[in-house]
Amino acid sequence: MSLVLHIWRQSDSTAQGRFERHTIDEFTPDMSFLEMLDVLNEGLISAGKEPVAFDYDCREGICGACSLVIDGIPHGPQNATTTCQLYMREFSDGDEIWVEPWRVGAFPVVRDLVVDRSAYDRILQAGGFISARTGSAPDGNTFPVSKETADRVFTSSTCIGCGACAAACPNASASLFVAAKIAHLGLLPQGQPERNSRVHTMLAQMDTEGFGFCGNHRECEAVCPKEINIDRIARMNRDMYRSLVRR
Amino acid sequence: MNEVQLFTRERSLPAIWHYSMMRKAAMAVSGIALIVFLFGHWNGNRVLLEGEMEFNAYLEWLQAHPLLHYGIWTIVAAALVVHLVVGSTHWLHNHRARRVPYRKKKQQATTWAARTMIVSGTILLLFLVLHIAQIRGWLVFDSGGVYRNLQAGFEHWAVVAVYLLGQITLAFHLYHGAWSLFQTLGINHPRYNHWRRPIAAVIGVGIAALNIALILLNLDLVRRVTGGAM
Repeated sequence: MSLVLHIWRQSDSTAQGRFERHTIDEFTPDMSFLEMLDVLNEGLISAGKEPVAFDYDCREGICGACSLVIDGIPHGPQNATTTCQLYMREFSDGDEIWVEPWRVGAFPVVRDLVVDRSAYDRILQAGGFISARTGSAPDGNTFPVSKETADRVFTSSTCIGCGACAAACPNASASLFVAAKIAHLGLLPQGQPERNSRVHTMLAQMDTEGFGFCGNHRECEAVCPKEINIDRIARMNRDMYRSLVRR
Repeated sequence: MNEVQLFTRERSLPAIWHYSMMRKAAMAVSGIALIVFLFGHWNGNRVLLEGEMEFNAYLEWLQAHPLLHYGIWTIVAAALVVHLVVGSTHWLHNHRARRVPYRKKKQQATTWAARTMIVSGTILLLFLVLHIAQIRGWLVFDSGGVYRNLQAGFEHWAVVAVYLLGQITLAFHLYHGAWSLFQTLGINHPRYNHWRRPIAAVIGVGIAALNIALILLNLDLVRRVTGGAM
């Protein structure tokens, strides 16, 4: 099995980037995409060249560090999958694959395929928290939360903040990320004290960071590795209207 | 700005312009106003088929009810301004928000209609300018009043083509716009979500089809009046 890779190379955030062409055949179909890049980098290092910089951490699809746009789709062609969980068997012999970093103005490129996603951290710092002292884990059913609500909270909380939503959005909007966090906290009793201010502070920070504005294209939910639905965005909008009339 | 100051500011009326999401809400509400107007507009324009006397009587009836006439005029003009300002400024911002475009990008879910809202919006604006120029008499085909100026305009194939293009563009614009407003206004529930796309399609294609039917029936009228010149 052999592949042609066009990989984005950029020495630092201010440098002009370009695509670099590599042909690679020393990998197996059971390697992940990142392992294939490891093989490429080993080859580059032994040839005395600079290895390709890319983000990764857990390599089991739960940390949100990996962030590659593979052949035009954030996290690659397989649904509900992060780049680290994408295996080379998804590709065919002779494929030409374009590998790019997240292209979002608010996520500047640090080097090659690594982008700075601290804009998401600042949005969380603006309101993505609760101030109630929760102490140690409470006894079961101390807070009455219905099964339906618990399920919605859980699916919202699965957001790993990888940034694929903003990367896929034609407008580079962070709405799905912000909406998932607001739903996650705002649906639970512990999240109620800041419910009205949270939606404002987080949305204001989202705008300040320079993300684009939601155009309801639905690209975000299509690429989200955790399959978070855009009904969270509608819910976030309802929360915003609600907060205008309630304190 | 601390949280309390921010919160106080965002609850004030000018808050609408501070937030992208609030501007989107203004976009959705103005869109609804324009959709409602278009249905009323069609209903009024049916009179065009009844003849010059009936059409002039309809215009006089409108003039005789200034509260209705100017009330609608004000709402539609305000909605248009809001729609234009938010639509164009958001497009400009979104255009810059990506900075470096993708070399290769595969769209997964978005529609052609959604991707071309700025294009369809611009075409609709140009069409509106022509339409208003014809109604107000700035573009003269026949100086014998609004009815004759309209009908004389329809004798030119280019005018008919622009009207038809305007309606087809409107269908595409509403196919995304009427769906998008549900999301923006937070109208989302598993029980009725599957109805949102068909409703948007019916609104978009419906208004366009009603107007196109009117144009085609009117052309038949023009042909009979002019003895087949069209």
